[in-house]
Amino acid sequence: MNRTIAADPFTIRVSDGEIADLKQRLAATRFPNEPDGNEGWDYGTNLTYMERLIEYWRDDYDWRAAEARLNRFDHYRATISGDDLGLPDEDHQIHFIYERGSGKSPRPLILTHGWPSTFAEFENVIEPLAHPERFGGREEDAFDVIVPSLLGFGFSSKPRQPLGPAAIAELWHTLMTRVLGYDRYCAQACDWGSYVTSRLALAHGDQIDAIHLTMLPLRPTTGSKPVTEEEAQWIGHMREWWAQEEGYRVIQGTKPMALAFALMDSPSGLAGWLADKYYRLGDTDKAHTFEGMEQRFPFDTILTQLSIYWFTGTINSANTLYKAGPAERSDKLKAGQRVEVPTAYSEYPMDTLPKTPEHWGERCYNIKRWRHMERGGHFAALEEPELFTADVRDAFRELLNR
Amino acid sequence: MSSPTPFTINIPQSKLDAIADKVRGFEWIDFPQDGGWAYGANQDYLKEFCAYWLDTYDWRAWEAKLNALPQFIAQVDGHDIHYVHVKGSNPANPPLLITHGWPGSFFEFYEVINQIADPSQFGGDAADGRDVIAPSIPGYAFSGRPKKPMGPRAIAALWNAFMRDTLEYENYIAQGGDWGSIISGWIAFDHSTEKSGGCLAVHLNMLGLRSNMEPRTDEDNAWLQHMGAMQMLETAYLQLQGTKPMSLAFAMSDSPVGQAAWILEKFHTWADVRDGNLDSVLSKDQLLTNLMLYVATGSFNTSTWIYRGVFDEGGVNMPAGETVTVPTGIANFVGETVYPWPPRGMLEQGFSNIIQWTDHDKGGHFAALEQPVAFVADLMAFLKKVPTA
Repeated sequence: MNRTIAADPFTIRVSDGEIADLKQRLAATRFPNEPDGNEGWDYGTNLTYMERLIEYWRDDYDWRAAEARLNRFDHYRATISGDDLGLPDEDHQIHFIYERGSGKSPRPLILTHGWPSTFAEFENVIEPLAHPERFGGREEDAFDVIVPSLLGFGFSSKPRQPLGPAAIAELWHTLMTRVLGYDRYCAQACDWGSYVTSRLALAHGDQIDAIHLTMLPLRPTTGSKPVTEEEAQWIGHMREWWAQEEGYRVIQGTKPMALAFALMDSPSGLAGWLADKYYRLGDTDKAHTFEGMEQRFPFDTILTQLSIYWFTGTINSANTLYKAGPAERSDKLKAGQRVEVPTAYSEYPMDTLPKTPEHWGERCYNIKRWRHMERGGHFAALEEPELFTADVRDAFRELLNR
Repeated sequence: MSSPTPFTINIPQSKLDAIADKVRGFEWIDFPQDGGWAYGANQDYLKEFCAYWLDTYDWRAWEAKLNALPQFIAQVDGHDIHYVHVKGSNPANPPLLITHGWPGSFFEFYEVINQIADPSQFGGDAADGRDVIAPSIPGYAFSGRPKKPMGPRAIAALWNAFMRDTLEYENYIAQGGDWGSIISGWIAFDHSTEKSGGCLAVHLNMLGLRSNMEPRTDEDNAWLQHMGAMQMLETAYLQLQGTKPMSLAFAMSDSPVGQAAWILEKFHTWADVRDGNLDSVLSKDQLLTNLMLYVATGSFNTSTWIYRGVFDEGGVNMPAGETVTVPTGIANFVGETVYPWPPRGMLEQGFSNIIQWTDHDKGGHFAALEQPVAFVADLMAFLKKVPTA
């Protein structure tokens, strides 16, 4: 199907000067010392891992190769006016990959990444989802795949005023309907993307056939129903876990500009800030200081993510989502509100967290399919592209009865 | 215990040049901002600050001023401790151990040390003078770097050993704000003369060590409510530094401007900056000299470890039912809004011998730097009231 795209074609092209500047900064890195006992990253990012990563980024990592790989897709940038959507009057540039699917009637599917990730998280699932027949699947399972960069991330623009997931959901709906001309579509996401997708399903459920999430961000209105014992235990466990882990989100949510100057000035600082999120949230083998991390997220993989943050200078605009999201109260459902769009939830094992009670998810979502994945963590599409692809394909086949 | 070795600050020129290069190389970008400090550091102020750093600020001049204070390094229980040690005009008075906090340094006291040691040079009475010792906390400035985070209670024990065994004072009086307050509180609790330590009395200018305070009045409840709100908005740095200091360390160690932003945000929030203008309270020279004691010594990372140390140590509450019994002085500076003193009755649940409480209508968290005159007057009045052993 040929469509006229109301967006400008876009090619990633970082200048030689920017690459040279990055290498120079990496060469001038001043590393911190490390407390005894940080082999398991208990105090945060491990020093030995960082020394190896930064050396590789400086001497071996090939951005041009990553750039060429990412440019094999069709990229676009669409201008969407916030004013038309009842948002602050500002034009936003939304960057997205658009891979048209095989066959006669591919279903449109928008995949949304989170923090500290980028659109590149989906690199290895775009083609299998768009062209299943080339990867041992059936052509009738094909999707038109749309992978945007969140506002303030990657090659999308940086908003003057941070916008939360509900506002971004309006931009997404405009992208899918007015820019790309679809009447109905499906959505898949994790992390902040799952907030956006949940808000999308709440606001435009009449045009969304089904959603697939690997994180369930919505919370019921407290006091609406008594919490079960299983739920209470799980909530308690989550609280303990977050007490250890939430430093980053608290600072990003309250004083992002106390942190931003250092992260914008220092690529190794950026790496140090983000690496332990991959370590902690990914399905890394934590029995070793860095072998498990490097196996799960090869240097080339994590450095492409980090390089996108660095070259686009988006770490601060990405971090401020932690201020805009809570300000919008985007995780809170109103009394009686629920996502009625058919929802598939696939839970990937994450760190020491226990499995979410199904009853909890069903308070907020019309969950039609619930899966516990055997491996893979928070960055599922990046960590386990084949498992992820098969699961997403099966889920939508089931939910859409196709 | 090794005997103290005289110490002179002398930052290598190559280090100063490397810092200047990084500051000069900082690429300013247009962050979306509200124009104030609500999101963190204000970019306009930071730009001015960095220009001053490069064009006007003279580290060597400040280094010379700091070196006018006699400094030493002594090994105490395996830790190299850097400290200022000024001999006072009246050796009969017990010495004062004065401890800084984060993101401060011994520099906070550079103006007040001589005034306390020898008041006669400042229009006071030589009889009121005493020895003053201002150490750098382990991990800060020119003190050694601990191998692992140390908490304030462990540092209190180290300080007591330092005063008694290294410096050979039998008794002393402790003073502090911020971490200095928590360390001094533990000194008063664990190392009072009553418990065979050397601490005679304690003077505090921030709430640190405390009992499990029960609210009994409307004012108590209002204070608790205020503290709850402050915890939501103003304690992210503490949460982060207390759990994952190494996630922050790579960025800060590599970026002097980043360190400036992280630290200046705290000065702006914690000092008494009622007109919104940090310059009206603390000069850029003062802020830079304090900052250089982090940047030039490469101590930012280890300076944050005490936040993890206090978590691992179990917090800042004294054991249930026990109190600090040594004579206690409370200096209540009105600008201390993030960690304000509770109502007196509430504090007395944990400090049973408050002999002086003074409210100051100007000055904040960095009282000795912000309001040196009021700070010295408050402290000297307290020191005179302390019964000598």
